[in-house]
Parts: sequence; C-alpha cells; structure tokens
Amino acid sequence: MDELNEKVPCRKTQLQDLLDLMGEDDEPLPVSVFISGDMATGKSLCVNTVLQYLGFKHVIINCIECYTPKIMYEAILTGLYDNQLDIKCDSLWELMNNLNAYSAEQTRYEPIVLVFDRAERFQNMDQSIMSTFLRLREFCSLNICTFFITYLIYDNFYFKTGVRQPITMYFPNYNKDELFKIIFLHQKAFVRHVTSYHIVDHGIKEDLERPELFENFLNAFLSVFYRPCRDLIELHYMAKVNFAKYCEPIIRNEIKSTDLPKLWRHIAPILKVSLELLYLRIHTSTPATTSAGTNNESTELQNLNFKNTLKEELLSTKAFAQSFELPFYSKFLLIAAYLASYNPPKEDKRLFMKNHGKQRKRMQQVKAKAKITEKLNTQLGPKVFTLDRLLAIFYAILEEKTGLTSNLLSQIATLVELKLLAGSKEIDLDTPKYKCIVGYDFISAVAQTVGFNVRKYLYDFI
Amino acid sequence: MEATVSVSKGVFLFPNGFKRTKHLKKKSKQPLFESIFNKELWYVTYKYNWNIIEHQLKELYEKTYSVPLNDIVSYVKSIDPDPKICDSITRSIPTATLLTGGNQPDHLNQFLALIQKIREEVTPHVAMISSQDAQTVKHLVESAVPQLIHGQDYLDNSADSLSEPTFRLKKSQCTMSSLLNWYQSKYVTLSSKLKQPTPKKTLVIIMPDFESFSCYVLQEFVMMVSFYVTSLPIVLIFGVTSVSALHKSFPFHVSSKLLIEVFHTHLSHVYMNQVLENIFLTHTSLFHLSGRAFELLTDVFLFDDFSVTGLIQSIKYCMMDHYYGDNIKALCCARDKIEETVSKLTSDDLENIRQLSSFRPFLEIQDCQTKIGLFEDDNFFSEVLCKEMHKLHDYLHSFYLCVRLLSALVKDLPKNMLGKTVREIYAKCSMELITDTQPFRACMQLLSFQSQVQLAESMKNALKEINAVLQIVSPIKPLRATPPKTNLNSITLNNDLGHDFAKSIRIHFLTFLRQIENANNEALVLNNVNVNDNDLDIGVLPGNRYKLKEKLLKATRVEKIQSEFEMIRSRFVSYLEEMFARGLQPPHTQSFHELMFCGDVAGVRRQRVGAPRGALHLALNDPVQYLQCSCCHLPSPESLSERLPDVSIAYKLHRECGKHINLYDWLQAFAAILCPADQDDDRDQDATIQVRFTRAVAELQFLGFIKSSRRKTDHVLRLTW
Repeated sequence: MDELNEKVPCRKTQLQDLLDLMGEDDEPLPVSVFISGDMATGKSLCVNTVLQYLGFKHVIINCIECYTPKIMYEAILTGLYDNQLDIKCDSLWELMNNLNAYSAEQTRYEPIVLVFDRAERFQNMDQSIMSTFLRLREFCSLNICTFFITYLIYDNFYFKTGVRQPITMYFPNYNKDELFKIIFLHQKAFVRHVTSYHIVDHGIKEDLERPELFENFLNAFLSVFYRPCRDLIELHYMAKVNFAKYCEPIIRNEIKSTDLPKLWRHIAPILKVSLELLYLRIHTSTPATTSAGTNNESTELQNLNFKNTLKEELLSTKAFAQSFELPFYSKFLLIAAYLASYNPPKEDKRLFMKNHGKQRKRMQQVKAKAKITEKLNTQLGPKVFTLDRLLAIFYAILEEKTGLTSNLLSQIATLVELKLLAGSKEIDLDTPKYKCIVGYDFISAVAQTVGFNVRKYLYDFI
Repeated sequence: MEATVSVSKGVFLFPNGFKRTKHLKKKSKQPLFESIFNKELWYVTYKYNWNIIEHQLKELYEKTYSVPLNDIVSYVKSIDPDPKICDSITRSIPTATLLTGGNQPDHLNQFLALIQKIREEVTPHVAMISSQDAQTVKHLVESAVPQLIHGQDYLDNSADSLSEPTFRLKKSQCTMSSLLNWYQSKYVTLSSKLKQPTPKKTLVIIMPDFESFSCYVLQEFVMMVSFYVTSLPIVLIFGVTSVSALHKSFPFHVSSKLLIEVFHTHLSHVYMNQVLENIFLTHTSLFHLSGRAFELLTDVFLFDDFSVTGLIQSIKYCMMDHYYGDNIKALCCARDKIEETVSKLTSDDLENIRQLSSFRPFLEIQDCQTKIGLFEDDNFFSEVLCKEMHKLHDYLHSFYLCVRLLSALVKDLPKNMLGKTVREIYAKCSMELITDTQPFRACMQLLSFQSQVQLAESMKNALKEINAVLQIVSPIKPLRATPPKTNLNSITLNNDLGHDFAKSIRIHFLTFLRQIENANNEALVLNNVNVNDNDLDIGVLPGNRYKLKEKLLKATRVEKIQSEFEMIRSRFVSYLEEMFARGLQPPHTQSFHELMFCGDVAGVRRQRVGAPRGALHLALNDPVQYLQCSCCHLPSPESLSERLPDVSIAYKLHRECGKHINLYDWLQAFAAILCPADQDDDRDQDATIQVRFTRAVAELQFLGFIKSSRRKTDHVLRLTW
C-alpha cells in the first residue's frame, strides 16, 4: 500500500477504495466501475497502478482510437490472447462467442479487467455497446469487470432501456498543497531541464539542486498560477518553462541563490507575462546551449518579442488580419464578400453605382432607422450571398479593370479553405452560395492595406 | 478465344499471363516530343538553356529554404526517441509548426524537400497526409500507418509490383495498435535480443495543409497519438498560415497535448523577387522577357495567386513558345555559342532573320553597298549577325547594370515613384525610355536634394552592384577579338557598351564618391550671411514687393553655386542622367531584339491566364472564332443569323432577357430567326424547331447559363450577367 501511495501521490483514499473493490485474488470482482473526475486528476494512473500491483490480467482500451467498434472488440481479444495477431471480430455477438470460448479454455476463475479510457466516446457509438459492457459478466462465465474512465459524470450517460448501475467513483481536483507536492516530486527533472541547456559551474549546479530553491520558486509560481489554472499538466509545463528563467540570473552569477526577495523581484514580471501565454503552448525556438553571456540575452529578447507579437496576433484581430498574406485581388474579394454579407441586397444599387438617383426619405423609414440600432446589419450575423453578387460587388469596388479569369475564381476557393469565407454545405453548381465569416475589425485591417474605406460602403454607416 | 458459360453478352477478362514490363519500357522510351524534336536546332538550344535555368532555380531554392528546413530537421533530431525521458504525466507530443504563407500552391515542394531531408538524416519513418486523404479519423489513420511502416517504398511499390515487401498490412488492419506492435517488434524486442541498443527512430507525421483538415478529425488524431506517445516517439509537423489557426481548431484539452515549436519560412513575394533578380533579370540569363510580358506575369503573381511555381511555369511556357519550331531562335543562347549557332543556320533561316521587323531600322542606316551585301551574301550577313548579336549581349549587360544601379539609387527615395524592387524598375525601363518619363526626372531631382551621408550610402550600394556584375563577367572574356573583315568597318557602330561601359561607370562612381565624401559644406556659413542680409533688406523695404522678389531670386541663385558638395552633387546627377540615357535604351530599339526577347503578350495571356467565361462567351457569341467556317460570318458580333449553331442563337436571345425567361417567348424568337420568311403564327408548332430549341436550351443549362425554376414552371432562371 505504501508502495502504491509513493507511486501515486495524494490519491490515498481513491487507491484504498479501488483496492477494496478489487478484493482478494479469488473473490469475484464488481461487475462494472465508473470513474469520473476532471482531466489530470490521476484517474487512469490510479487504475493502472492498482491493476499492475495486483497483477490482474487487464486490457486497456483507448476509446478514441476505436472509430469503429470492431477495433475495440479486436483490441479486447488480442489483449486476452496475448497479442495474437490474426483475430477477427466484427460484432458484439462474435465477441461474446469468443469470450465464451476463452472461458472454456481457462482452468481457473481468473480475474480479468477491461479498462475503457475516455469512455465518453461511448455516447457517440451504438447504445447497446455500453449497456452490454456494463453487464458483461452476465453474458460470459468469466470473472470479468469493466472500468469506465471519463471526465463526464454518470448522469450524462442516458440509456433508453434501464441498465445495471455501475459503482461510481469520483476523483476530485488536486488542491494547492497537493499540486505543490506533485510538481515537487519532479524537482530533479526540472533541474536537469535547466542544466541541459546551459553550461553550469559545479558550484552553481549544487546550488540549483538544492530543494529549497525549487520550493521557493514553486511557492511563488503557484501563488500566481493557482487561481487561473488548476490543470496539473498545464501547471507542470508552465513551471518548467518558468523555472528555467528563474534560474538564469543564478547561472549568470547575478543573483545569489539564497537571495530570495531579489529572485522574486526578478521572476514576478516574467510570471505575469507567461500568465498571458497560459494554455497557448507555444514554445519558441529552443535556446541554444550558450553559456551565460550577452548572447543569451539577445535571444531572450527576441523570444520575448516574438511572444508578444504572437499574443497580439491572438488578442487583436488587426494583427491577425495582417498576418495573413493574401494576394491583391484576394483582399478585394474578401472585402466584397464582407460587403455582400452585411449589406441588404436591395441597397446594392445605391451603394455601388455612380448614378443611383436620389432616395426619397419617407418618414416611416427615418423612424425605422432611428429606433433599431440593435438591428444593425453589422451586429446581426452575416447573410448568405451568391457568387454573382460577390463578383458584381468585386468589380464595383475594384477601380481597375480585370478579366474574370480562372485564377480569380480559384481565389474564392482558397478563401474558403482558409476559413475566411464559408461555403454552403451542399454543393450547388448553379448558384454557389457563400458567407463571410470574418468580423469588421479584420476587414478594416485588410482594407487598410489596400487603401480602401469599408465604412463608405456599409449600409449601416450611411 | 475461350468460350464463356455466360449467356449474357459482354466483355470478359481472361488472364493470359501477360506481365507488364513497365519499367523496362520506360528506359527505352523517351517522351514523344523529345524523339521528334531532338534533332532540331532550336529544341537543342531550348533544352540546354532550360536545364541551366532549372539548375539555377534549384540552387536558389535550396539556398533560401535550407534555413527553415534545417531548423526543423535539427528539431526533429533533437527529440529523443527514447520515451522514458519525456515525462509520462504530460504525455505531450512534440510538434513543429511551419508558418507558411497564406496561399499554398508552392508548399508541396517545400514539404517534399523536408521529407527527403528527414529521410536522409533522421529517420526513414515519415508519413505525409494531405487533407484529401483524411475525411474521417479512419482514413487518416489508415493512410498514416502504412506510410510509417513501409517507409519510402510504400509509394514507389504501388507503381511497380515486382519488389513486393515481405509483409503488407491490409487497409483495415492499419490501426494504431498494429503500429505499436510493429514498432516494438522492430526496435524494442530486437534490441533486447541483440543485447546492444539499436538506435530508436522517431516517427514523423506531416500535415502540410493544416487548415483544410476538419477540426474534429485532427483533435481525435492528436488525442489518439498522445495516448501512444509514451511508447511511440511520434513527432507531428503542421503547415499552417498563422499560429492562431492552431488555437482556433484545438480546444484546450487537445492543445495541452502538444508541445508546439514555431518555425518561419520566407514570404513568397520575397522569394519571387529573389528568383527574378538572381536568375532572370541578369545579363547572364539566357532568355529575356519583354516588359509587357514580364509585367503580365508579375501581375498574375501579385494580384492572383502568390505562387512562385506558377510564375516559373509561366516563364517556362514563354520560353517554349519563344523557341518552338523556329531555328533562328537558337541564337538566343550563351555568348560563346553564337558563332557556332550562326554557322549552323541554313539560308532559309537567314532569310527569316531578314524578315524581322527590327532589321529594317538597322538596314536604313547602312550605306548602299552594305545593304546589297546584307541581302545577297549569306556569309557576309551571318558575320554581321554575329557582330550584332555580340552587340546585343553588350547592350544587355549594360542595360541590366543600369537597371540595378538605378534601383540601388532610387530605393531609399521618398514617395516610391519608380518602385522599390529591381523587377519594378525593369518593367518600367523595358517598356519605354525611362529617362524621358516624369517619374525618372522627379527621382533625379530628389537625388539632387539628398544629403551627403545618404548619397554616399546609396552610391556605395550602387558600387557594390557594379563590382558584383564585373566579377561575374571577368571570367568570360568578350569574344570580339575576331579580326573584322574589310566590309565590316563601314558599318556604323553606336557608342560602345558592355564591359568597358561598366568599367567606366565604376571609375566615374569611385571618383564621384571620393569627391562627395571629401566635399565640405563650408559655403553654408556664407549662405547664412546672405540670408541675414536678406532679412535686413526686408526690414528696410517692407512695401516694395517686386524688389523683394527679385532679391530673393537672386539670393537663391547665389546660394546654389555656393557649396562644393552641392556642386559635385549636381554634376553627379547630370552624369547619371546622361549615363542612364545611354544605358537604359529599351530593348525594342535594338536590332534583332526579337531573337532574345519574348514579346508575345497576347499569346501568353491567352495560354497562362484562363478565362473560362470569356472563352464561352466568345465561342457562343461569335462562333467563327472557333469553328472557322465560312457560313457563320457575321457582320457584327451582335447580329443574328439562322446559319449559326442553335446554341449560339439561343444564347444570344437569352442575353436580351431579364432574370426570368419565358420559354414560350424564347421559342417564338428562336423560330422567328430560323425561318424568318414564314409569316405563320404557328411556325413554332414545327416539331423540328421545337426539338432543336429544346436541345439548345438543354445545352445552355448544361453550360450553366440557365436553370429551371420551380416557382414558375414555364420560366427559366438566368444565372449569369
């Protein structure tokens, strides 16, 4: 038991529960167990270690991989028959036949466990599959038990016909202390990560290896990151990135490893910056193995710059739009698509033609326009338009003359591929329909690069 | 022939033991046109020249793309295939993300090169999956796994079935678990048996067009891979347009499985500029485009597709078009081959050269005897031709030099009047004599306002260009050493261009540069004094405007000649004007320029820029263009005649209608055109006319001009405008 606790920290009660459920060697297993809990709470790890510890025969099936049930059945059988390659099993009843044949071969009542990881995928499969596995014991004479591991709770699974209720277990999230403890376990790996990138003196290395240093860092780190993020994996990753930065001044001999306040002042702004990059998972070019020096600083700066632009790109649509490299006509096509999506077709004539005549303002219209600011076209979603209309507007806003070439038409397909336009679902060769799915900010950024005033052609702003 | 037991009639396949000997044939068989043309002079030259260009392109390509590719390869290398190292809790997949440009027609080559490199240097297990192969997760896995397992031969083997691999998985067996089994049997168990660790190899999966994949499929795939990443060292490589695309398509629980590393590639227009400047816009290039054709191609690139591959193919097309079937174009070759080629030309070819339009102005300036000699004596003519070709090469040399110089000088000027890149300036220069144009004069004026530092800087850049050009030239000595024959002396030469020209420019530039750097602005003090004087004068005579004006004018005039630097600068600018006027004569003023320059813009446009609707309209509106028969001649394109094909008549009639077309009216009009003499109202009752009409309408529908509408059954909807 202690051995288990050492392997899986901070999950003492859950491990105990699992062990209790399994019982001793010959006792019959529970029919099915349903384990739920958030991501990165150690569900799979607990189950796997317990099974390995007990030495039960078990098969772990990743349900994502089973895009057809056939793969699942075959995976179960290959697991049972110790990786025999030529196993064919197409359907549930074949599986049952095979299981029964297997039980006939067995001499003793051996416990077998099937673990279905990411069991939420059963929702997309035929309902009978999950309900069968929930009561698998009844169909074959084996001491068999099924585990379902998922982040959903059992109530999310809805069965039309009643099923046998599994035993449910819940894995709660780790709290701050537990997170601290778990990440702290990997201290060696962290230090190795840092030292692998830098050439470090022996004395400093010893300094770095002192657990107190890491402890301090982790305290600082968690105080910033614990609030926005509870995910162990993400925290682990961010800690790794930031610990390297934490250690840099020590390696450069600028700050003593014992000078905690100074180190905190050094790391606080860095942590703040990387808090904004949380969940982005962008790792820019690996710093070369440079020894402490000015060279490192410049790459560092570059890295920071890049991260900043990246952040900008993600936060502001303007920078995002400018990051797209589009040919000249493509930009105009995109603008035309935007105008077609957000202008009522009735007004096209008025907007795009030179001699459209005067529009008589009727009292009714003025009133209507005044009161419905919330009905602005730009605020409502994009409307569908036809290819003809797109091309007509394109030629209207383009000052120069150009032929309707195949190159131009293929640009539309490219825009659809880049997810700037959305094509209609069913392919209609006669009247292809599109929708512009970028916002006003994006378009005005694109229009700026070609020197075009979008507002002038938007019905809402006239 | 064996009999079959089948009662039905049909074609039956009998295996007759015939084995395809495909690859044997392949060696012996050349492409069709190769076997036809390989004796022709023009084809040999074309082939030779294109090979050189292709080689240069390849070199440039490798040079420009080696940086990001090498980065990725070293990244892949750096990932330790031993899964113990990567911590088991995170289970993250190392992922390289290559930021490619928005348009992706060129990127396939890039990724193929990447695969090649990875295969050579890191691991044989590489799979490339395009979005077409991955409609569902199943397809994705089933196309990735066999590629990983069988490596390179997988694709090759499908072509020739002789060297069959020892074992081959069925499509349905290609799952991740079978991949795991294979990997373990290959690396893990093997190494434990041999007691010495065989190096494990990473598995690389490349997805070049990330955006076209469906998000769902990708998410599933990433989750799946992350499950195996502890036992299989898998590296993913994505080609995306912007990093945000990654985050848009992955929710957190997926992206937390990735360890993303970002790599940048060049923007494609930067690459295009490089291609053009280094390969095509040099005097060493063996083939030149006239200004308009050049502009057309770059416009297609900039406005339409951003595809360098497309651009290169267009240039290749121009080249083929230029050479095709014309022996005299063989003269468009390297300088040291001119004599050889000229000696191979037959008298017919020489006659063709005499027909060239640029020969006429050349002829006009010669005296009478030479004219006769040029027409009568083939030997004499070919000698002159050699000489002229050399002159043309000299001209090219100085022309490109001047283009580069101009671009170096103009690059930093404000307002960007001539353009910033060499290609823009080339396009302008080759269309007209640029020194006569307004922008050029404005640029020169701006140059004459530049400060000392700026001017010296841009002159240094220009000098670099000259030196580069001179370096290229120096190994190839101009072959004009052949002793001129008696008559040749009488041919008037225009002023000498070429190598010597470049040298003289260099000397001039050097002296100007030295002068400019040494010149001081000491006269400025004097100016200031002058200005002060002026101020005083203004104070004295506030009322007299005329006198003030005169004084100011005088003052400016005085100022101008004051500074030594300014003097040199103005001299330099006037020298530049003179030099450019000499060197930048547009190509079409040169004799025999047709031999070196491809100028058929209309042809290029027709072939390279497809206009489907335009072609359809032309065909239906004026069928003569395509049918080339005598019966369909029309007085004007708008007019109608009963001799036209039925579709054409129906098309022209439908163009007169609005959005909805009444079929009955249409039929009436159709019948009226077919039999105008008939005054009956029931000519539309004629069955043949009805049938012809129906068929024409059906054809129009097939071509996508009309569509039947459900709302009004006797109407059709017009689809084009």
